[in-house]
Amino acid sequence: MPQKLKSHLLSLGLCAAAFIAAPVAFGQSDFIVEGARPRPGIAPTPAPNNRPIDAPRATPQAIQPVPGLGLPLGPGDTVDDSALRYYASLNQTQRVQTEMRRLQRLYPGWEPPADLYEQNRAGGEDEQSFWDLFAADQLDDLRAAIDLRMRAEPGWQPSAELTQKLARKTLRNQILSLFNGGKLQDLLDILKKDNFNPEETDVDVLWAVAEAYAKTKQTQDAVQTYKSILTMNRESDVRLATIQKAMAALRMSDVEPLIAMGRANEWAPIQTDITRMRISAYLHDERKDEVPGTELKAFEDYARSASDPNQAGLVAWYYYKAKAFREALEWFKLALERGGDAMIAHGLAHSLRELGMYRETEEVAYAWRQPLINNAILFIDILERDLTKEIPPYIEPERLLRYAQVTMDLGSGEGAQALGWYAYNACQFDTAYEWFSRAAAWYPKEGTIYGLAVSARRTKRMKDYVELINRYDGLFPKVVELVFPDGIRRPPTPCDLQSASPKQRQQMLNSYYATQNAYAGQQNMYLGQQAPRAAGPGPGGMRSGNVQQFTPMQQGYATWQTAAAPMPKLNPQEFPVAIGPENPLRFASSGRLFGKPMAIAASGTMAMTPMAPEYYRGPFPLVARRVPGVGAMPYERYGFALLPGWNGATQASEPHTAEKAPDGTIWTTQQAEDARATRGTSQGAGGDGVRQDLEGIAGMLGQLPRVPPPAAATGTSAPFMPIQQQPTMQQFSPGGGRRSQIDMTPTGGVTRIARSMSDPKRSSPAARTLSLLAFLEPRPTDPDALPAAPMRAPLAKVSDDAGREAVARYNDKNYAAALAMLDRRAKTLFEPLELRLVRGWSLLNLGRLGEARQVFDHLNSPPPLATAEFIVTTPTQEEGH
Amino acid sequence: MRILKAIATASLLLASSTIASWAQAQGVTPANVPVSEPRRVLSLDARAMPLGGTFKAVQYWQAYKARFVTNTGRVVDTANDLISHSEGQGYAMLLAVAANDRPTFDRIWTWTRANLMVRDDQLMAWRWSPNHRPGVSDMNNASDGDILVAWALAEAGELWADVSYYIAGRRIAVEVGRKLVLFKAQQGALLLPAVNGFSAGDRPDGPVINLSYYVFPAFARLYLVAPELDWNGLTQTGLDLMKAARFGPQSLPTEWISIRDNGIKPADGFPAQFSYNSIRIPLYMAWAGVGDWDSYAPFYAWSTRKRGSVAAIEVSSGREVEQLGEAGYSSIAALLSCAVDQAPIPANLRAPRDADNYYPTTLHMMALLAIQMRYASCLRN
Repeated sequence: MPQKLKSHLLSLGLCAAAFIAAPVAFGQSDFIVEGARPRPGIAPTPAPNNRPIDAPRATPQAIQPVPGLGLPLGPGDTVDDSALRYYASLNQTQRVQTEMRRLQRLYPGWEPPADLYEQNRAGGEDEQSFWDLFAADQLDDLRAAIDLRMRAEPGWQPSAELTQKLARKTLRNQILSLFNGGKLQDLLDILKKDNFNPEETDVDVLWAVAEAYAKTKQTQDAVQTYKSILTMNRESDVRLATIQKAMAALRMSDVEPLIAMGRANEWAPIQTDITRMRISAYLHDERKDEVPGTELKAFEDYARSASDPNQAGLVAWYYYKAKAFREALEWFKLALERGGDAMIAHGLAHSLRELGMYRETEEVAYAWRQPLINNAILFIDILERDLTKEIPPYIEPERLLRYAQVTMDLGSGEGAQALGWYAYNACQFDTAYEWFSRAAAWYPKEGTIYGLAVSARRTKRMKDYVELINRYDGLFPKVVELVFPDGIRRPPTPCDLQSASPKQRQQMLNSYYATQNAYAGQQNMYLGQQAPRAAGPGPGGMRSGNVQQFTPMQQGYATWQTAAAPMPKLNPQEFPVAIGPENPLRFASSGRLFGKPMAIAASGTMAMTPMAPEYYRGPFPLVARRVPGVGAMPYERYGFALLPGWNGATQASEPHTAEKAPDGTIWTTQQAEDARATRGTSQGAGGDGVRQDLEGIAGMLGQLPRVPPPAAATGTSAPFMPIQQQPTMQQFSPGGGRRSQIDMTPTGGVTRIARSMSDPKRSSPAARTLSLLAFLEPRPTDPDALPAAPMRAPLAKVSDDAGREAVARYNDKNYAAALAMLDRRAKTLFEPLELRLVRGWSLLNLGRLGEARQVFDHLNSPPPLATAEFIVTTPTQEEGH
Repeated sequence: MRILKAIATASLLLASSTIASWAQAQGVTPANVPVSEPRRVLSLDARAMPLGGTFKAVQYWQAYKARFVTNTGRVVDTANDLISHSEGQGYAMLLAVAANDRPTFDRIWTWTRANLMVRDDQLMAWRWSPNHRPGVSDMNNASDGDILVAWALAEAGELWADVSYYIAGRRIAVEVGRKLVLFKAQQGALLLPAVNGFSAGDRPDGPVINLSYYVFPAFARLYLVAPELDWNGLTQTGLDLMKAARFGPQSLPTEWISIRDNGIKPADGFPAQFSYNSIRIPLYMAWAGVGDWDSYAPFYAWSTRKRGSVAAIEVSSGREVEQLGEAGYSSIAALLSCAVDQAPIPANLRAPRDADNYYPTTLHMMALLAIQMRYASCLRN
């Protein structure tokens, strides 16, 4: 499954986002003002209707303004001093003075009232009891009292001020109550209905209103409300709290204009919060620009001194996102030291992976597999890369065993197929069959079924083999190709050579290199259809009528091709055979290491009750139907057709375009990144040096450790009998495993790490991880501490074409191409010391220091060879049908 | 007969994409048509709730198993040529968790992975036929099936404390987030119905969505396995789109909706109906307790047009095109009345009917499950 680790990366990026969303803490709750707050700093003159009832309205027509001179004050005229009285009621003496000066300028001769500070009850003394209720927030009682008096004194009305203030306070309470009850839509409905005027209320209400807008996605209204708060208020605490509330409610991009309204250094007290939110926005892809260096530096200082691991973790995720993995690693380490959790460890593991330190990644993921499933998944996927290599690297027996255990615990099809391929490529076919059986139950992809089929064939389980070929006819071309070989000659497999006598080896290799076509072609019938005559040799010639052109299923095969295949002779016992389409394989996971083991009886699970019999019992068809999304079947190149698909489709899907990433998905972005990363490299042939290397590989395979079969991984007690290898001459197409996600240079066995971490009970995951990283610490991290890369690499000792090509590319200064060539070569050949040097130098030149370091670290310690046998135990109790 | 989700596959769609724009031909009424029902205040509870063990009417589950789940764990669509699909497997897995029936859950899940997880990723092939060679008859996925299975695995992981379910659920959920959701769309988080055939690159009127694939109760729980994905964003977008995608005199959404640039209209090449797919929209809303009166109003009006029966609607005319006669469909109307009016569930809808096929029976079971989880008072007499 090519994109699986990509899924990790997705989850990783998003995890980072989730991680930072949580700890946005506003520690300064004293910014939040309790109770009603007047609007200081708004326009100095309240609206006319704020005027106290006992001040008769000045007739506007009677006052003709004279610019610069003020207004004559006629007899009986009164001045609107409501603002003055309002400020006086609040004892805001400075504002009172300002207002007095304004009125005196406007109305020369006007004298301030003597009772200004005595009469704070503008509604008149006979309303004092009402105002007392008002002040005590007993609004229901107040309304009842007013009602009572109106009934008792027909014609009496409360003062306009009382009426108005009561209405405002009622609205205020209503808004805050709806807000606190989460009824935001109702709140906004009221604003609309009552023509809400932000200038007539206090900041608590405005904060609530702004947040209601924000939560109902009326972002512009929210921003506008916050802006009006900032415009109307000069108090520092109110303004700071407004920014903090806006950051909590809105995206940072919407908050930035509010921040821009600040005076110089005004936001300094909350700068840490602002930077935190900017980092958060960057992690959420809501901000493209990196956080300014000085600002980030200040936050780093804060994070370094904070005991909360999440602060260091945030910096770590920031660097991870910015692809500065070395810095990310250091910060993740710090966060872990401060008590960071499994998610921090997950980020750390991925930083290690990005730095090419796969072995360390594996250890960290394993140590943290239980607290967080992301780590368990990473553990499975990171080692899968090595396990599925065509030429298997040496993997220590204890690592294989623990991988097998986790695979069984999780019921992981990914792990099972990886172990299947490792066993298969190490010529352990029975074990391969067992693992592939699990994989086919848990993860029946084309490569898995193919692996099971070739393992069945190798171990002479011909009934299984035939069933597989026929069950997946129409779905998996590569599986059907086992019956319809593509005519492409492949070299004998190392497993074949390994079990052969020297003379047999020679014959195999000679036969492979023989130029003449070894196939004695025979025409045949398939399902009553006469094979059309081939138009000529080569796959392109196998074309006829309405059957589309043959497309090689595996592009790499073309390079091995020596002859076109004629229609093979079919064995009617083998293909086509009618078979039920259902995959019958079932295996339970052992599920011991994770979660709480729970006996079925204790789980309250109901007893098994009758289920339906299968409604359809045959007959089963012999001819496959077209499946939308699947490419051409191998027999189509001989002119045979499939039945139309369920939807009427008659054409095969082109495998490479059948499923393209839908526009706008994360997958699309990842594909584009992949394309950029691999531009300039191409797949190609192995070269002529194959011959002696095949024999070398064959010799090596015997040294590989035994793969523990599934039974061994469950820890039961019956002994495992190593299976005798059964050499056959059947060909195995190279590379059955899933294509790895990461094409970075792998490293060999880092046994010292395994040793340093060999006792899982010794310490906590954090302690184990930190001890691992402490071990790594003194190693060079800068180019100066690594060997210098020479301008030219020596060619003398390199004997094969691919190796020479790599050296030539290096000497051309095309380091990426040199690496690509080395990678390609390494798929089939051992990499000698001189080429490992070229690899290291290329990485140095490309600035991939972590990977370079890995290469140089292992220059003189080639993968250890061991012959450890597994003491293995009882077979698993398989659950199946 | 239920219109197969199958019509959704790309091969057919591409052929039909030249059909003139439905919206232009029919004169679509834009969104937010006021519904004549008086506005009501709903008291819904949108808190995420665990599913495990909540289904108390175990006898209905046993009857369901005996009719629709084979011994090997295959869930059979009895009205559709006995095929199986990822959606059906997912529903039955949910019911098994809700009934705390782990052996049956394991049978259904292991069948599902052994037979449908054949794609080269973590999603499921959506369609499987017992009488075809090969059994899988389409490699495309169906997003709702994937989401239902991932949700069931998350619930199973929690109920039975088995991390292998969590891991399998996580792999599917993350793949849904990676391959099927357009998180940065102008309208919010758009859920494609499948990997193949619905995106802007696949169709002139793409992206095309299906609102009944927004499984709201799943979104509320998938944080268990994939907390980093914005499931709330999917819920919010689903609710927003529901208010925008109101067509015709009844203000109902069509099954398939085109969201191109700023426009929203019935998708080309599909019957512009509110039908077998869409009736799950109010089911999922009520099950999750999300939405307000505005969200429910058109569905409520649809469900109360005729007492005791519901119909598929041609949205442009508001005309009934087909009676949805099996009782299971009416159970959704009962659930709506319960959620909106606290109306008791009628006695004749408190148990699935033996005569109903797989799909209406399954909807009935889901509605009963939703009622037991969130609206137990509607079951009191």
